[in-house]
Amino acid sequence: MITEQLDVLAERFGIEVPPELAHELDVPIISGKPQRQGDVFWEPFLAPDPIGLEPIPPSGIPVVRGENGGNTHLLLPTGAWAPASDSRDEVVLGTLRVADDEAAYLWHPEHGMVGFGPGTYVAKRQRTAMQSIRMIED
Amino acid sequence: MITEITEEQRAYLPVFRKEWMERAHRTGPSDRETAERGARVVYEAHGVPYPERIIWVPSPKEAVRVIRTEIGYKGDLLTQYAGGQFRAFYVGWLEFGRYLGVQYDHPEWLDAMIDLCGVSWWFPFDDVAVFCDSPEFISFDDEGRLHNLTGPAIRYSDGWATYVLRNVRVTQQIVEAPETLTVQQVLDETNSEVRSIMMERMGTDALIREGGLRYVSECEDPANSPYMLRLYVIPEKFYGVERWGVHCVNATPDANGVRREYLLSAPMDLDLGAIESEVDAIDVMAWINTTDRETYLSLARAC
Repeated sequence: MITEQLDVLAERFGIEVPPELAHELDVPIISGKPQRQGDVFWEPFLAPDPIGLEPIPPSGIPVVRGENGGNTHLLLPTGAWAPASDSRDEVVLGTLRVADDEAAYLWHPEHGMVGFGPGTYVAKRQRTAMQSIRMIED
Repeated sequence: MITEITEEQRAYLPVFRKEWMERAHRTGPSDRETAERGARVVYEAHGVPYPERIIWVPSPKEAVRVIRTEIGYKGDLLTQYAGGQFRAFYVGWLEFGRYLGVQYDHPEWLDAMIDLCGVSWWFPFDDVAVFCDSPEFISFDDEGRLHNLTGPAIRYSDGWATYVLRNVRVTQQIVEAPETLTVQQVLDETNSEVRSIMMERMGTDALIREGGLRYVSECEDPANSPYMLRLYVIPEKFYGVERWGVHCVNATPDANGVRREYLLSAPMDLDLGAIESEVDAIDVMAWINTTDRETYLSLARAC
C-alpha cells in the first residue's frame, strides 16, 4: 500500500498535528475504495466527472463544516473538487477527482488525515435523526 | 429603476456582506454617543422630544427588569423594542441600495438606523429610552449557526446567557453537563429537535439501559476493528415511532484517550425490500451513510 508520512504532509500544508494523532505516522493513500472520516463517507463514483470541478487550492477547501465542535473536514491538494449542485442537499457534499499519479488528502484535527489515490469519489454526510425528524414534520 | 448591477458592484458584495455580518455579530460595550445620535433622529422623525431620562443596561434581561419595575410599562415588549444590531440584515439591505444609487426620501433615517446597529436592543418610550449593550460573546459554528458545545452561545456582560446548539435553543445542562441527563428528562422534552440533541449528547450506556432499547444483534464495524456495531430498536416513546438505533464507537480516540460512543438512528423502514427481521447493523449504517450494504462493508479505512 502506498503511504505518505503525516509529518511531511503537515509541513507541506502548514497543519498542526495534535499530540494524540502524532503516532499515526503513515497516511495510507487508498484508491477506488470507500473511506470514512467521522461523519463523512467517501465512496468511489463511477459515472463521468461532474461539471464544476475546480483544482483544490494549497490552502484547501472546507468540504463540510464541523458538526461536533466546529472542526472542519479540510480537503487538500492535489485534486479537483466540485461542490454539490444543490447547496441545500443535506447528504451529498460534492465530488473529488484525483488524477493518475496524484493524491488528495482530507484533514480533520480530531479524526486525522485520509489519503485518496487516483479516482473519483463522492462525499456524503451521515443522515441524522434531526434531519429525518424534520422531513417527517415538514 | 435599477435592473442590473455592474461587475464592480457585484465584486463589492462579498466585502459589504462581511462588513455587515460583523455589525450584526458585534460584541462588547456599545458606543453610546453614536447610538444616541441615531436615537435622536428617530424621536425627531416621530415628532417626540428626545427624553432626558436615558438608561443603559448590560443585557436584555436587565432591560426587561428596568422597563417592568423602574419604568412601570406593562405592555407587550415585542412591539415596543426597536431594532439594534440584530436588524442589521435589513439595514444593510437598505444601505446596499444607497450604494447602488437608490435615492431615499430621508437618508438621515437610514444613517440613524446604522448608528443604532451598535446596540443589542433599544426600547424607546415617550419620556425614557432604554439601550442595551451588545453581548460580550457570541459563538457560531462554521455554517454560521449559533452554536457552542462548551458554554453559552450568547453571553451578556452581566452573565445573562443563552445556550444554543446548531441554532436550536437548549438548556445549560444539555451543553455543560450532558452526562447528567436522564431518560425521563428526554421523554419529558416536548420539542423533538431538543429531544434528539439530548439523545445525542447523553451517555449511550444510560440511554440504552434505562431507555428500554431492545437489543437485536451485533456485527463487526467495518474498518474499525475490534469495535462492534450493536443494533437496537429504540422504543416509540422517544421519536413518536420506533426507530433503529446503532451503537457505535469512534474510530479515533479523543485527546483524553477516550473513544466517543454514539447512538445513530434510522427509520424502521429502510426501503431495502428486506423484511425487518433480517435487517442488521450494516444495513442501518448503510442507510445512515446513504450507500448500499456492499459498499459499506468494503470500507477500506475509518478514522
